[in-house]
Amino acid sequence: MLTPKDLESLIALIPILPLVGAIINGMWGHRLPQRLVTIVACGSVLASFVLSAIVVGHLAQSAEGTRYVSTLYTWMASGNLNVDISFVVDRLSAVMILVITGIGFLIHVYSTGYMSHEPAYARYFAYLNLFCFAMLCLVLGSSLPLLFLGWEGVGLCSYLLIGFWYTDIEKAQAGKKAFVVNRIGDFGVLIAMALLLRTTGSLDFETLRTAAAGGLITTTVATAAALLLFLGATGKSAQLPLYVWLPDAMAGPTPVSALIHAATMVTAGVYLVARTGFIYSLAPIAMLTVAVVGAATALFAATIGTAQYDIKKVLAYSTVSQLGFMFIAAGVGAYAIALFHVITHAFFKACLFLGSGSVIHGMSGEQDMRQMGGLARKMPITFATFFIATLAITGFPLLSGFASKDLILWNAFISSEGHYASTFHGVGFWLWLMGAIAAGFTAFYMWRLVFMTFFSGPIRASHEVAHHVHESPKSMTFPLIVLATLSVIGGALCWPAVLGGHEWLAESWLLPITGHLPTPEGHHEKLEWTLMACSTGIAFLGFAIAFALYARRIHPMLNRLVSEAPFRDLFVLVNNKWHIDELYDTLVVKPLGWVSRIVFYEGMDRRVIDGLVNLVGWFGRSIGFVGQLFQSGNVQRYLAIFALALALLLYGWLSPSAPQAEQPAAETPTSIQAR
Amino acid sequence: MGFLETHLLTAIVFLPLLGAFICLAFPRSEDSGVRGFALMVTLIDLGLAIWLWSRFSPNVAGMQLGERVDWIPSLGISYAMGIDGVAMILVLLTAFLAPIVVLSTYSSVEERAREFMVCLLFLQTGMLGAFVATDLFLFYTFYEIMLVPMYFLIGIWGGRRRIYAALKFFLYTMGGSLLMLVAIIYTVWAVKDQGGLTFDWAVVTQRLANANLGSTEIWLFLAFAVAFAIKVPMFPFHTWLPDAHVEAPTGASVILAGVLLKIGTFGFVRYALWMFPKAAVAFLPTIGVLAVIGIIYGALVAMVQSDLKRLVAYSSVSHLGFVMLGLVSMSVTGVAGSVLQMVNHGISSGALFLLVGVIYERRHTRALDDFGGLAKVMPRYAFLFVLLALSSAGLPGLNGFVGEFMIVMGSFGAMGPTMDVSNGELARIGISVAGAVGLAAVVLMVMKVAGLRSGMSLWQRVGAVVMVVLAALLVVAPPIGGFGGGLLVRPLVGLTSDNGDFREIFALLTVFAGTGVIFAAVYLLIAVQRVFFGPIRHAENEGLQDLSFREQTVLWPLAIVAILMGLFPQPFIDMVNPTVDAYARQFRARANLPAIAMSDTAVQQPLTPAQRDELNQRRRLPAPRAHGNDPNLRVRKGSQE
Repeated sequence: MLTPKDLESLIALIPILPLVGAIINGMWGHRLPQRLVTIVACGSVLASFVLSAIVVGHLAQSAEGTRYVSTLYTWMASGNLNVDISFVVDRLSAVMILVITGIGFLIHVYSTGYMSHEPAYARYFAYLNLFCFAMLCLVLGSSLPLLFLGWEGVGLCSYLLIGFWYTDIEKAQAGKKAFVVNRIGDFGVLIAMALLLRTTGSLDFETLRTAAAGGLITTTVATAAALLLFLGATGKSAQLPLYVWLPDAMAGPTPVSALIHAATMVTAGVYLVARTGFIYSLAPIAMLTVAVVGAATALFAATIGTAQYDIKKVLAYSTVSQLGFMFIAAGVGAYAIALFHVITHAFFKACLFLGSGSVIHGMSGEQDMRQMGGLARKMPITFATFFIATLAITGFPLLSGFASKDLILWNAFISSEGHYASTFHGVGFWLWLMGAIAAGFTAFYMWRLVFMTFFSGPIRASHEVAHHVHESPKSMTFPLIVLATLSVIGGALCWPAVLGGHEWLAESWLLPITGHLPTPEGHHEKLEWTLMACSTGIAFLGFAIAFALYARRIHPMLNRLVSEAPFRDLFVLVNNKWHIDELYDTLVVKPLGWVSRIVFYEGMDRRVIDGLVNLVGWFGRSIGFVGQLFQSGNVQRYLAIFALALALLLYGWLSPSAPQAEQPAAETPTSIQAR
Repeated sequence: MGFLETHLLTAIVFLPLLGAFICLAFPRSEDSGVRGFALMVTLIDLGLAIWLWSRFSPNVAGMQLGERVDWIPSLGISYAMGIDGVAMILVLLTAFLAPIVVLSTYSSVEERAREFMVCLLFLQTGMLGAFVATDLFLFYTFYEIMLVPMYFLIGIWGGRRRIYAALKFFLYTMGGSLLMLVAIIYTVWAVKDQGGLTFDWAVVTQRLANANLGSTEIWLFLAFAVAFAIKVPMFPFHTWLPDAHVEAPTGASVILAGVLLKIGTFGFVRYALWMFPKAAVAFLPTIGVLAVIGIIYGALVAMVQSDLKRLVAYSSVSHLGFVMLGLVSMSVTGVAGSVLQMVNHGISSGALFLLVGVIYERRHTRALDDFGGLAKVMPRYAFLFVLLALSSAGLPGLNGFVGEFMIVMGSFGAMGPTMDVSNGELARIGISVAGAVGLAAVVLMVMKVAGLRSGMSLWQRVGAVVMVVLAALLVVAPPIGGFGGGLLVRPLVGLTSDNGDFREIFALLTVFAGTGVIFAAVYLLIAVQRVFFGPIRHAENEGLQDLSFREQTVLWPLAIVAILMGLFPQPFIDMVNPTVDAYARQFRARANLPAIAMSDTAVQQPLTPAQRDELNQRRRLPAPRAHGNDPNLRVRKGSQE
């Protein structure tokens, strides 16, 4: 048993170890043998995982509200601003660090196989380690600024990794888009911090919580702060209207998509909302916004997922949709349930992404599902794990996704009579319905993906690619097996009470942080069963349609439908992602560039302001030009001017009015008049 | 040693000048010798500055390590130097950049290296002198002296339009500083009845506090403010800057962006604002609005530049907008952030100009279109460029973030002025002037949009019109019917009234300023992408050499400082805190601003659990406004109402 002091020194090592790995591989990696790079990269994350496990193990045995705080030094302090570099392990960050380092390690291992032929192997792992550092800072930070350090840090790593193959300009552009869109959200977080600092005088989470409990944060301020923070969350967690970067982010290597754009970074928004839940609880309007945006995103993204052909794009929209589910839960105040879905989603979505990576690896880089088919037999392990993860995400009874999705939908439904009933009045049902329909779409596009990829006849790719298809190496299948297993059993963490579980995560582990969400009075068991049956039924319907259309081969009816007018247009529209990218481009990006160039730069700067400046210059030069006439160097002219001036002077001296001009000014007019 | 110790400031200031004279003695052919010598001089100067730093006590708010000798006693002019926290950190920045600049000219300046070094060293004396002078006349002397070598640096070693740029720079700055000269002389004369003629800054400031100059003080303030606003440069006095930067040789650009512009912001702190608080307070909202326009405008214009150097130049306009916003917010956090941001900008932009110089030397072009894919052939260069671009964009963990963050936190919490109607009117006039410039922009925009340029689709035009309306709301609407009339402004915050109540203006301005962080990411990443990513499109770029050892020696110190100041900024903050605290408090006291910035009253330390329990208990008491007396958590009345 370690003392709290020992633990606190260990806590600082959890984020620092991956940072050291990043520095070593980043600075000297290209000179080190690949094996050593692998050891440094995976080793640092594994060590971090082990330390996390030790710390969390101790935390589990301590009293409920225990927090291990490790303060390293003062980051900045001036006036009322006081920010320490300080890491905290409490029950919330404990969950996150285990997920990050655990899944992070698995994906590092997977990457050693996936990226083995990559010339920039060390650079890749340096970025990946740096990401782990930033992500751990994000969840361990004891205050908002430190969270923000991690928040932007993961954004940077995302930028670097999406554009990892930078010679492809589209990939570089996707990275830039991700960073810029995220910055829009970061703006919200920045202003929220300023608002909270102004109101409470601190940005430390514990002080903020005290201030909130003490009534220092009014509803108005809480609503503004919560909405601004949520703006940040919509950026990082790809919600409407800022989700557009995530599908493009699939340009990065597939393990990156699994780690950053599915399992960890994109859930940071959910973490932020859960962490600052005490502010949201003061602002029901903000909560309603979160829930509605979440539900809308869940449904909207799921529709796009149904018409994509790129295997990773389907999973990307699926991620956006699943994140929407998490925000439904967070919005109705069920933060623990949102985190439960973060965890289960991390398991099955990481498994799906890594599985798709394995498929792409086997298909020599091909990502178009129309080229795949019948891979089940050629890649048995990939198929089996992918199949299990698909069962989980589509909510097949008793798997992890089933448990978390059911809890989300249930909490959404009863929100209209729960603690925030006055705000959520009449909304709960619609949240549930949107979620349930989204779940139906989820089932459809996931099974469509599975059928198109692993079944539906022989492979449709070229002979060369087809011949080359192989099962991936052990370094890649091992993480798949682990993640598939977790996808099955993960639900045990918070097994729904109605199914005989204890909802351990929500009702005991996270209780001190997220608090208990009071459920409405009365027996709801029957209702809960009914809803569960309904949503499962809708999901099964999605499966059935996918089976009918895609299972054996791409159904001829589908081809016919796709070629006929109304359906074809709809399909094209959805396939083009409802043209949202083009809409933003036309309404924001292009006009902004145009206004900046034509109006601000060429018009305002060059013509108006510089025009004025040059006008002043021209004016000066004009005076100079007149003066120049007197400076010709021509002696005759000088003499002429001299003579003229002399004549004028003499005239003034000799003329009779001259003495009068010396009289006081006040009298001059009268004297002139007199004359 | 004793003599040097007591005259350390003199030694630091005049060592470069001495070096310049010795440089003149070198034979014309001895290029490398003269460079080595200049490098040595600047390094010794840096050493002296570090020595000065070690003797500087950060806990003292006032001037320290002073020197004073009568210069022209009949006019009360003395050779007086001294240093406070703000000057200290800027002296360090200046001394730090000098050897880097000298080293960078080894390859960029091939002709007349001796004269170049002379100018550089001469300039160094001028800049250092301007920071440490505590006599108004001495300050003005140094301030003017700087123009001469900079004029030559641009005019002789510059690009194609160097004469135009040099002249524009010289005349523009000169025009401003003549105003300041008049104001200095007037001020000194106006207060001489309080015990004789003196140009001593501290004495004059003290006398001004006791004097009642009435509306004259406003004109004096404006004369100083315009001189420094040109130097900063603040929108709309900024157009000399891009021209000067684009034409200037790399070394001069680094000095220009790194140090010279800071003399403008430093001048605001030390002279314009500190000396004339009663007049300045009426213009705080105006300066704030101009600063925010500068932030957004500079960033948007930077975004559409095709010349890399011009892009970095416009980014300076944006960054210095942040500095100005923090300075006028008069909150300790905001001002300290501004001072820090002056240094940060010196590091990041200085480095970016050096980096632009590196490829310019190789390719003799700076057009973004001439590059692309350089990351492949110049990986080390790409790494440093991206790192320093990110530091400029304010990525947490690097230096740029710390300053920006403190400015945003400080100015959002700062209380603006509540003025009697006459002052309020004045401020409103000031804002209206700013708005008129904005109005010109909007009229131009509408004309252009209505002009139906071909190639614009209907929707693009609609988008453009939406932008126009938004810009109009931001810039133009406020002056119509007083500041509170702005359509966006009033319902959004409901803050300002028509009777000169600007208490909440900084919160509002900060929100707009915050959008600058988005645009900063846009223009810097656009630049990075167009230079480094994608395939190599030009055959000339394929054989480019990565950074040489010398170039890395030039750049790595900047990169390391960027990282160190990002992760460990506290020693630097501590250096400026006492000075800044005195500055903000004195200003607020003399200008009748609410005693302290709103944010300065609240919790200084995170609470201990025991305190927290106590606090919680107290909160449950029914006593009205129980927290009003709470030393730990206190909120101004304003925020609750």
